[in-house]
Amino acid sequence: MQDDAPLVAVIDDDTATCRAVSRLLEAVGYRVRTYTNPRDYLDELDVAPPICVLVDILMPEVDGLALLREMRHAGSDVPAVFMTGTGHVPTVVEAMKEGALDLLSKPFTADALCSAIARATDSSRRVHGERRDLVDLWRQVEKLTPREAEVAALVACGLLNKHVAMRIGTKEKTVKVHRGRVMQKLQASSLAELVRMVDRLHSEPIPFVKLDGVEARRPRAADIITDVLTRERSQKQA
Amino acid sequence: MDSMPAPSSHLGATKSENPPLQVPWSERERATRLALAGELVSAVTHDLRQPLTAIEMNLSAALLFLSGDEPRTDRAIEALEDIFAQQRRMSEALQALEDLVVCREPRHERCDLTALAREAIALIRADPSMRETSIELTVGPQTPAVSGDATLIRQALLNVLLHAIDASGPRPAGGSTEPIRGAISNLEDAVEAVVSYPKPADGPVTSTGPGLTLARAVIAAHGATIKIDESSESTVRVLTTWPTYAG
Repeated sequence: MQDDAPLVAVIDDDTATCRAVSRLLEAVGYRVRTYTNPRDYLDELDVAPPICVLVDILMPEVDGLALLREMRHAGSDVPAVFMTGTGHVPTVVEAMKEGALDLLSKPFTADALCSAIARATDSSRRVHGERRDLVDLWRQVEKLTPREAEVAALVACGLLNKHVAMRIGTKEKTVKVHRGRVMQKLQASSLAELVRMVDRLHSEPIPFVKLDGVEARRPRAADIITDVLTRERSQKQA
Repeated sequence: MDSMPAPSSHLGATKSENPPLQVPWSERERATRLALAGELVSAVTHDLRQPLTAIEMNLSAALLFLSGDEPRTDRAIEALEDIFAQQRRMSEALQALEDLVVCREPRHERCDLTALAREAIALIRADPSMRETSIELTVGPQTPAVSGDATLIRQALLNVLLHAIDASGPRPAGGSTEPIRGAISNLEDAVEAVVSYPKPADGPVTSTGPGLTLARAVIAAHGATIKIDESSESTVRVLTTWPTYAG
């Protein structure tokens, strides 16, 4: 087994199912950690997070749905594939509402399991990539001063330098300097790129993300940008 | 063509007019068991789905371990051994189902009443429609083993618990309710299992019904006793006593 193989967490109170599923996933090239008690998984949430979790819905103490809610509450966005031994429709509907990526009805085939895990792995990689891009953007944005963040938002709204100057009560020449610093600090090569960056900060106002178990927080400058953008757009509409 | 028999002119026909069907007790008991089989199938199906899943996974893994460029026979053997274990588990689940629906004399084996009560509670919790039902079990010190057929005793305890859930009425939506309480304690030459539940506000407790009828049949066949105590204003207690295992 390669050390860099994707890690899957299997959570089922039935030891035999845990062992068998784990054996198959290892045979097809995944690394696997098994848990017969969901609490043990929650305790290890930040230690080498898996690429996806395969979790039984019906378990004593903490069931699969409660586990997923606790994971999300703790900031974990690891995709979940549910296993179920019941066709109880309300439970299945609730699982999908909670954000289950897939639902496998026991007994399922090896092909069904591998396909579900492959889809979850792809989804996890895509989400991970998007999260990494967002954190990279936050790292650039946190270099901006509050005034530069304000200028970035106003410029992204399409205001000319002289209008920006009037808005923030300064000279056009000073705005030009701020604008140059904004483009440099954000490494934006064009106005279009700056607009995309600002829009992303506005459309994803999440306060923090966890990346490889490490928490990254949204910088203050990003909040300033969002506040200015919201104010400008509401004024335009009015 | 034969003429159709005339319908009875009134529903309150006397015994002499309509003699009861002469169905042997064992047949009635079997019919009662079959009526309950539908409910039990879902619990047993759950018991079969787990090993079936494990068998499918182990077989596929064993094939992969053996078909690689460097076959890993040790891991394949582990998987095959697990398949045997799961096959036995399925056989036991099927045997348990058969025991419930086929008439036979109960065995008199050493049984742990506490373990059987916990299994009965687990079966109830495996049913999604009853997962929210709160059941608390307390066990007294040094409870000896009882004599009987584990499958049938577990079924009798399960039926008493289901009766308690039914009789205590519907749960308030989103609100909590008094739990069903189970207690197992040691008497001098018997073990007592008591199930207590809140007395329903509307009407008396029904001490019949197919569930309790089967429980009574199992209890009688084991030389055990059952009693429903409604003397308390707020609680109903179903007391069963089981003879201890003498070896």
